[in-house]
Amino acid sequence: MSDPSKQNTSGERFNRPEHELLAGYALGDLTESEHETATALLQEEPHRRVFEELERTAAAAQIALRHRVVDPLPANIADVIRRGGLERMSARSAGQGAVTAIVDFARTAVSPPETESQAEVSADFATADFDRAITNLAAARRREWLGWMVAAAAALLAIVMWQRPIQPPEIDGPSLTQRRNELLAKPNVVLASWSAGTTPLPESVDGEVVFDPETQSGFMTFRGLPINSPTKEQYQLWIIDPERDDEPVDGGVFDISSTGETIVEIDAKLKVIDPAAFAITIEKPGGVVVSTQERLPLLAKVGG
Amino acid sequence: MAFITHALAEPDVRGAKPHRKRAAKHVIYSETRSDSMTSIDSSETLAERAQESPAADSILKRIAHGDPQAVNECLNQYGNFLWSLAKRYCGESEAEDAVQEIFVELWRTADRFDSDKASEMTFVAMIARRRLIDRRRRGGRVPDLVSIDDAGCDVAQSGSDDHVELSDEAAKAGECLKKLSEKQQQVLSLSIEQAQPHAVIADRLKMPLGTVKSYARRGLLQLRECMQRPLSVEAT
Repeated sequence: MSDPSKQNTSGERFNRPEHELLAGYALGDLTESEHETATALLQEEPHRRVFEELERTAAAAQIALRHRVVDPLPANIADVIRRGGLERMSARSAGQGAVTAIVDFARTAVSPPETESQAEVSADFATADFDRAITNLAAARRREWLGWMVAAAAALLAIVMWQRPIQPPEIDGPSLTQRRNELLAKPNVVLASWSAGTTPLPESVDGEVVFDPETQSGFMTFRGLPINSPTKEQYQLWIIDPERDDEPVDGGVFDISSTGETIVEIDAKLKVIDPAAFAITIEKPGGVVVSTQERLPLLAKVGG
Repeated sequence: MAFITHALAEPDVRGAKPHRKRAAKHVIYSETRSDSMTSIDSSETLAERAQESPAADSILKRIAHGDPQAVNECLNQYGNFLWSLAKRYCGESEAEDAVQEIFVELWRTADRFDSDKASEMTFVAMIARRRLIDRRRRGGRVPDLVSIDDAGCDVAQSGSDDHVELSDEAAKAGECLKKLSEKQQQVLSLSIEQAQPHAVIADRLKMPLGTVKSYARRGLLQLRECMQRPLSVEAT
């Protein structure tokens, strides 16, 4: 069944030695040295595409190779998972509500003036009052333009709101500052100061990061970090933890809306054991799983 | 920067392509499922209506759109499958953490599911495998050995007792698996379905480790090549 002339959908032939390595990656059988080589290969887009196809193939085979025994997910574990999913959804819904309100406001603010303006201008032309008609037409166009500007600004704001990272509401609980200070007061927390990374920033940034491996909670504080445009790019935190893995843990994406002191809660996607450093990269909206590290403006080394 | 190395590549399933419902051709084994997921529209008009209806969207699409009911459906639809998978990959003691990790990843990546690239089940299995393989590489527990005779896996057949929808690509994977050599089938079954490390497979099959790796890796590559071919050719 092997046919070297066959190509995958990426136009890559599956008969190259590096593809065997990527197949090993998809099957999870790589040695450490092979893993390093495969990781380097995945820096290149064609290899990433091949790897993705091999992952999909393995997943399809996983389903095709059924197992006779399918154990029911224990109810207590299902409850924990359900709560986590619903909490995430609840936070997302709060953001959607704000977006809906803005869009509704824009709609009601723009529509009536357009209708009134058109009617007024039509009436003036009908009565041959051309000077007044032209004046009213110009005014109507200005109002329309203003309306469109309001709509565009509202839409942009809506997009910005939508793209904002999920932050739990803090209506009832202590503020981020209080929680950060409480964490700072605890023994055995990890503390590191921000220093310049490989991507220069227009102004120097200071601040620190505090993380508690016991509770897996932490906060970043920034002073002077440039405001980002969330529709174009977002900041993303990476936690480097050699005790856990040689791959950094995604600490979540976040936005900066003020160059004053800003506190951001850390949202580690995986358990962190003993962080050695924290790095901030600039990524596309929503963040990435694999960072090219092209823009890395800040680094905080623990004990550094 | 040397301190950030690459994680497993993110599946390229982003993008805002219009959702197209795939017609399921094979039903293999089932867990609880919603009716909205099982309907097959033969008429294009009906299919188009289904696309417009939020209820007809995939579970992951609805999760991405913030439908709380979809969380329950996701658990009902994939919970048992993922729990069983986690147990086989990590063993009972770590399965709880592992399955939670998988679901967190599903909530996070639900908006990246693209039905034009893979079925929802395949996407879920891909995310799960990625997390479980990563977890094992981080030093997770290797599951207990199972007897090869008791491995309990074979290529799924239509009309079997259990009932989870087998997507087009999974059905094709099943067909293509049958075309591999017996040894390749055995090694891939133990590797993928039983989640046995290749060193363990080598020991059990009394084969050199390098040979087992070659069987597995080349088997997967051949599987992919086979799956690229038209279904009509492979179905014969």
